[in-house]
Amino acid sequence: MNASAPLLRIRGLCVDFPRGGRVLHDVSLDAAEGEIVGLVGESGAGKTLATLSILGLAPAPGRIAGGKIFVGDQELTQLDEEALRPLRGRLAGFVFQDPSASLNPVRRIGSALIESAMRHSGLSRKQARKRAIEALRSVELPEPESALRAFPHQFSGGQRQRIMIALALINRPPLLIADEPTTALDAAVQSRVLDLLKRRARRHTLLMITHDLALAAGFCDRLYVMHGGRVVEHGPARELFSQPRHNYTRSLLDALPGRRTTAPMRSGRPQSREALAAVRGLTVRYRGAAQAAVENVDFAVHANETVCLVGESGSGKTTIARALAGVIRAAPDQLSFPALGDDPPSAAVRARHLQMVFQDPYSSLNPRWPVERIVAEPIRTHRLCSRPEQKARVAALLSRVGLDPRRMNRRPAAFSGGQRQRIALARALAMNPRLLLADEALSALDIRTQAQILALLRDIREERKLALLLITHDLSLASEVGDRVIVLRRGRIVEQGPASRVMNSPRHEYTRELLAAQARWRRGSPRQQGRRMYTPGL
Amino acid sequence: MRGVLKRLLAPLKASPQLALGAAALLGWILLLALGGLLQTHDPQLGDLAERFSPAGTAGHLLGTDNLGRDLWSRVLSGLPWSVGVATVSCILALLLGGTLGMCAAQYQGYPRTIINQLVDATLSFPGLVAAIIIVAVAGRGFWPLSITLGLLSWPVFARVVYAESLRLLAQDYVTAARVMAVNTPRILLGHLLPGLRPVLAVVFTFHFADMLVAESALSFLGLGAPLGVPTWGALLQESRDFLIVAPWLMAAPATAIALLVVSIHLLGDGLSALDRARR
Repeated sequence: MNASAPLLRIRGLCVDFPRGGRVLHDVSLDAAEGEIVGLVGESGAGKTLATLSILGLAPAPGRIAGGKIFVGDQELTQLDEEALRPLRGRLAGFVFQDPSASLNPVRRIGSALIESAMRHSGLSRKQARKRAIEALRSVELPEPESALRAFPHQFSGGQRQRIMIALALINRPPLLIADEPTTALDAAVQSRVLDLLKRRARRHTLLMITHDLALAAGFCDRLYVMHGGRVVEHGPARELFSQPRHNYTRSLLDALPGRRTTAPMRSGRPQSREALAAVRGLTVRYRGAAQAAVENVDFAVHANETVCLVGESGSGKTTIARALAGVIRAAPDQLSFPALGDDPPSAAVRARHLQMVFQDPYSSLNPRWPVERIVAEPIRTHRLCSRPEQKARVAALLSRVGLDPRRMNRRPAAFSGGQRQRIALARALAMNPRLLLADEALSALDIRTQAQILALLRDIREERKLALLLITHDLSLASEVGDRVIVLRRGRIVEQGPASRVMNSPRHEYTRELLAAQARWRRGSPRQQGRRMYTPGL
Repeated sequence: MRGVLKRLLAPLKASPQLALGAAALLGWILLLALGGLLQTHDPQLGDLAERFSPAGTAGHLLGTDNLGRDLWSRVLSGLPWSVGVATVSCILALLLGGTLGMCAAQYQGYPRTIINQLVDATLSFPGLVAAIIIVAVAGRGFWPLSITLGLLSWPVFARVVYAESLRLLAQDYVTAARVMAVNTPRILLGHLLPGLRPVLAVVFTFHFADMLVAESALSFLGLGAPLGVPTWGALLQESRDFLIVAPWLMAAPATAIALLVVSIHLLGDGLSALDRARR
C-alpha cells in the first residue's frame, strides 16, 4: 500500500432521503492507488449509494448530509453540479451489473467511446478514435477497429462488459468503480472478466461492489462490509475472511455454500424406484430458432430425491422445467409421469402432482393481488377446500413457510425478496405436490436469505417426502444439496451422476471447466485447492 | 352504509389527482343533467342585433355567433350529443379492441394472424369513406354515428392491448397460474385485465379527445348530428369562417373539449397512480 495519502478518502459520509431519513451513516473508506477494495453486503446495505455519492450521483431526493470525500486532493462534497460534471469522466469510470442495459442499443460502440474521449479528455476526433481503439485493445476485444462500427447487440454479454470497462477507462480515470460487474455473467465468462479487471486494476484504484463474499475475499485486497447503511467491519480480505470480528460478517460467512449446514437436504435413504417424472429423448425447438433449445435429453426424477439440473444461461434448463410443468408442449412419448399411470395426465392432475417456484420473486407474484388471494389461487382453482376453510388453509401455509398469517391482506410489495419467495413456496405447496421444480429459485436472493430458504426447503422436503428438481447455474450449490447432478450444455446433457462423484471426479471436460471457473476467484470454495486451474482463453 | 362510503372515499383521499378528476367528472355530470336549466337563451334563436358580441358581454357569458345566438347556451346544448357520441364510440372501441387484442396475445397461430390482419385491414381503410358508406346504409343519427366511429377506431385499442398483453403474459405469475392449471378465461380476467388497466386508462383518455373531434368531421360532411344540433365539433367547424373577427367562437368549444379531456385524463391518471401505490 502507498505510504502517502490514499487516492480515495471518504470520511463520515452521511446521506439523507427526505422520506426515508438517514440511509448512509458515517461511512468512511480509503482506497489507495493500485489497490482493489471490495464493498460487500446484502442488497439494500447502501453499497451502491455510497459509491454513487462519490461523484454526486446519489439518486434524486437523496442528499449528502455530512462528511467529506476526497479523490486525490480534490474535495467533492462542496462542489455543485456544474463543477462536478466535467470531473466525472476524468476522476472515475463506472462499470455496472447489466452490460446490455448500460450501453445504448442504437449507438455504435465507437460513437460512445469517441464522444466520451472528446468531451472529457478534450481530444480531437482523430485522437479520440485512436484512444478508443487503444481502449478496446486494452480490454482484449478482438478486432477493435471493426468493433467501433458495431452495435452492442452484436457482442456477447461478456464482450459487452469488456466494452463497458473500455468506456469506463477511456479517459484514464484514477478510480474505477465496478458495481456487481460479473453478477449477470456466466461462470466461465465471469472469471475471464475478473482476470481482465485484475490486470487493469494495477494502474487504477478499483472499488468493487459485490454481494458475493467468497468472490470478494478471493479477488480484493481489502474489504469493507456494509450492513444497514453502515460499515460494520473492514480489513485485509484474508484476515476478514479467516477471522471475522463482527457478528454480521460471521453470519455472512456462515451462509456461504460449503459452510452452511444443508447436507441433510440429501435424502441419504435408498431411492424409491418410482419415477415421478421421466424424460425420454426430449427435444424442444422454438419457432424460428436454428438450434433446438433442448435436444435428446433423458433423465428421471424419483420420489424423495433431490436432482440438480446445472447449466449456464442458454443451456436449456428452464425449457426443460417448462416442458415438465406443461407450459411448453412436449411430445407425449418424450415426457411421462409413471407415478400417475401410463396415460398422459390431464392438466389438473399434472398440476397437483408437480409444482414450480420461479427465479424472480418480483415477477412471480401478481403485484395487484393480496397475498391471501395469491396463495389461495390454486386452492380456488382446484376447489381443494370449502370457501370458509380457505382462509385457515392459507394461514396455515403461510405459517409453515415462516410468514406471519396476519399479513395476508398485504400485497407483495410489502414483502422482501426472501419473503416473496416464501409466499411463492406456500402457493406451490397449497397443491400438495409430490415433485417441486425450483427454477433458479435461490439465485436472486442474498446469501443469508438463500441459506434460510434452503433450510426451509430442506425441512419441507423431509416433512412431505417431496422430490425436488433444483435448476441452477451454481455447481457448488448443486453439489451441496443434490443427490444427483445433471450437467447441461447447449441443450444436451454432458454428464449426470451422483453429486459427490460429479464434483470429485468430473468426467466431462465441460464440467471440469465449469468447476474451475466457479472456483477461480473464490476463496473458501471446496474446489479451489488441488485442482488444475482453468486458464482463461482470451 | 358508513363503511361503504368510507371505502369509496379512501382512494380519493390517497390521491389528490384522483379526487380532482372525480370532482371534475361530477361537475360534468351535473352540467349534463342540468344543461337545460343553465341555458340562458334558446340555443337556436338568434338576435341579429347582437351578432358577434364578444365573450363577457352582459347577458352573453361566452359571446354570440354570426347569427347572434348565445354561445354559452349552444355549448351546453351540444354537450349531451358530443359526450354521448364520444363515450359510446370509445366504449365500443375499447370492448372490441381490448377483447381482440387480448385474444391475439393469448392465442398464437391462426387467431393471432387473423386478428392482426383485421387490424391492418381496418387501419388501411380510409375512415371517411367507410363512414360515408356505413351512414349511407344505416342512416344518420346518434347510434349510427357512434357505432361507426367505434367500428373504425378499435384497432387503436387492439394494438396497444396486444403489445401490453404480450408483456404481461410473459410474467412469471402468469406462467405460475398455467402451471397450476388455471384455465385461460380466468388468467385473462384475473391476471391480464387488471394489469391492462393503466394502459387502457391512458389510451381511453386520448381516444376520447380524438372521438370528440372525429364527430365534428363527420358532422361537417352532414353524416353526423342532424342539422341544427350544435355539437362541439359543429361549433368548431362553424367558427372557422370567423376566426379573425370572432376568435371566441373557436375558443369556447375548444376550451370545453380541452377541459373535458383534462378531467378524464386526471381521472385515468389518478386511477393508475392508485394502482401503482397499491403494488
